[in-house]
Amino acid sequence: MTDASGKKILVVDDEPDAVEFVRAVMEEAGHRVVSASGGDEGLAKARAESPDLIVLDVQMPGKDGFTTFAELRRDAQLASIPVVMLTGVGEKLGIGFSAEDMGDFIGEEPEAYVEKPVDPARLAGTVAELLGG
Amino acid sequence: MAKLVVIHGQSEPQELIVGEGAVLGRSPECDLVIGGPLVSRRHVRIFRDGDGYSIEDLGSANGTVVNGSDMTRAALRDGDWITVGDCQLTFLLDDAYTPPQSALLLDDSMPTVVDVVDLGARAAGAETLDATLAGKLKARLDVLRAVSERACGALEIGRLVELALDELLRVYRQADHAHAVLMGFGEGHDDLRLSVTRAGRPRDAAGMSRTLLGIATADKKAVLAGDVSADDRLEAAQSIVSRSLRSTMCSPLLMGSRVLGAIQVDTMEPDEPFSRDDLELLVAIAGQIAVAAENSRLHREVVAQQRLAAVGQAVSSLAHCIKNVLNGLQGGSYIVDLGLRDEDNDRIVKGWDIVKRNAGFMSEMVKDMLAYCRKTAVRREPTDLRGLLNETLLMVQETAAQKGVETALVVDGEPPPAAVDATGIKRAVLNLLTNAVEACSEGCSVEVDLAADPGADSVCITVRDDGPGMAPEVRAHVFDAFFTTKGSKGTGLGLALVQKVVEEHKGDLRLDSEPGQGSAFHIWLPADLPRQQASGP
Repeated sequence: MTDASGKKILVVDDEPDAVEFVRAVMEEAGHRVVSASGGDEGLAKARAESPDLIVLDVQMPGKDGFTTFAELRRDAQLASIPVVMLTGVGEKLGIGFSAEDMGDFIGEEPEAYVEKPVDPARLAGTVAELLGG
Repeated sequence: MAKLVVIHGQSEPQELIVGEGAVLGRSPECDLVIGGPLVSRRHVRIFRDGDGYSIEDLGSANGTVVNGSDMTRAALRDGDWITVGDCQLTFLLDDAYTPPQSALLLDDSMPTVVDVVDLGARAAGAETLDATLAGKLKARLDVLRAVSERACGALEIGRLVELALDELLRVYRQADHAHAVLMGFGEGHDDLRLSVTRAGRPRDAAGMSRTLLGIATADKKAVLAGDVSADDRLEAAQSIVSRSLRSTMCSPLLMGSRVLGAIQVDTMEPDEPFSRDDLELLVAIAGQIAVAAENSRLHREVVAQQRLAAVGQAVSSLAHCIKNVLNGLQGGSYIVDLGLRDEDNDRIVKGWDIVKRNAGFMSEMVKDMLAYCRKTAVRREPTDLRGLLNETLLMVQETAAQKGVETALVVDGEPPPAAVDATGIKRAVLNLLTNAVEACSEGCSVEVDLAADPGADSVCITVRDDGPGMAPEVRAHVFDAFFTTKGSKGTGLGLALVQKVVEEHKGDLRLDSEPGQGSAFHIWLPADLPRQQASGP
């Protein structure tokens, strides 16, 4: 186990199976996981639980990942929590969706993107890098 | 002066004088601000390049198309078409757009073939000319009106040009043939060539004279040969002489300074050569045909683009759904692997459940896709709707109960068996019920009502919930294929499929929904069998 293990990860995804997947990957890396099934619940859990990192799905009904991310960054208590965004949004819109374009929408960019379907090794590696830095 | 004119799409301003240069893109700092998700912030620039202008893509994500071809940098010519995202623009070198008929000049000093206006022939018939002048003017107005009316109505260019050629034979009473060539307007971008021959006159299989077409399209000049036989300069134009033509005229089809093709009228009648007046009328008619041809081309382009966009939307939506299912399958099998490694049976079961659930979702998605695309005639048979609705409700009851959502079937009176396609209606109602249950939270209820309207011979199925309801912007798109509010869980096909099933039954589908007031979908279906099916075997 590295220094980056044993951290608290908040997983925000409307799809319970996707939450279970990320939970399994994070627990395998030695982290603890709390989860939320939507943007509003995610923001509330972030305030209540002070996670070390947030894994946030883009495509959610109600408050989507973009909006949730923008609100995280506006909240002084939460703004410094690193965010890994799970995205398939480029495919959804049928366009080359660059990080610059994402910046256009939300003013700021998350620390990392991981594409769905999630590659467990890549997700674990990205999280380890962000928490170990 | 160079100018960009927005033909289609969101942009500000609608027209832009280019001057030394201009940048187009989504950023408010651009000279021409174009909206839409396919447009990059600084998408493309147009700039003065020597004597002319050039266009250069600024590394945009989705590229720039000029006259139908992708390009990174190209010289621009008057009338070029530029596509940036969903926006279509045309580049004009003259700010004063001149309609084709006035842009065209007769050139009396043309050195070859046919600038001949046979004044001698006209002088001989001077008295009849005066007498028929009023009639001729009226005929001109009539033909112009007829052509422009048809130009507005017909978007199929071949049909339009045929009508215009018929009109030419009507107005030029001495004409035996009328021909048109539209360059690149045919199948596979071949030239479209059309000819008409006056009834009872010999056909002219050779079509338009290549000599005249060359002059009209290369030099952009209208051409008149008043009396072919009397003009020894026509020796080169064998195609005219060999066909026993006595008089002929030809006009280019011009759109701005772009040549779309040409029209030609000819006669084998030695006594009635065409006059300069006739040529001027031909030029005016050519202007109308050119506008119509351009409209038709634009229409075809827009349809092709819409089709491409729809296919792109469908493919990307499906790809997204499939990716989500793959994510589930991958996640499930990852958890199964961990369980196997640790000999943790609970984990294996948990992972395996995820795999099964996602395989099931994929299976439902494929069924929806096939049902949505299938083009089979519905088979309507007398069906006990109460039984059908009861069965369908049972299919969602377990999920509803788990969420704490109540369900009920309410039947008003004793509805007679209705003639429906049971499979289609069941799938439609199941989709509505699934949506309703998903939209509801604990304590809400979902109800299916069945009511018969004996007076109108129709039945109405209503699926009602007291969930969160829909905002107007959601309501407006809710039946669009691939529109979904369910995030990763939705294919966006469910309600589009409901609509398709109802349309196949010649029924009616309506939605009442307000935010905070729940939603109600009403399906009206004709209860009796359609006539052709009722009288069939």
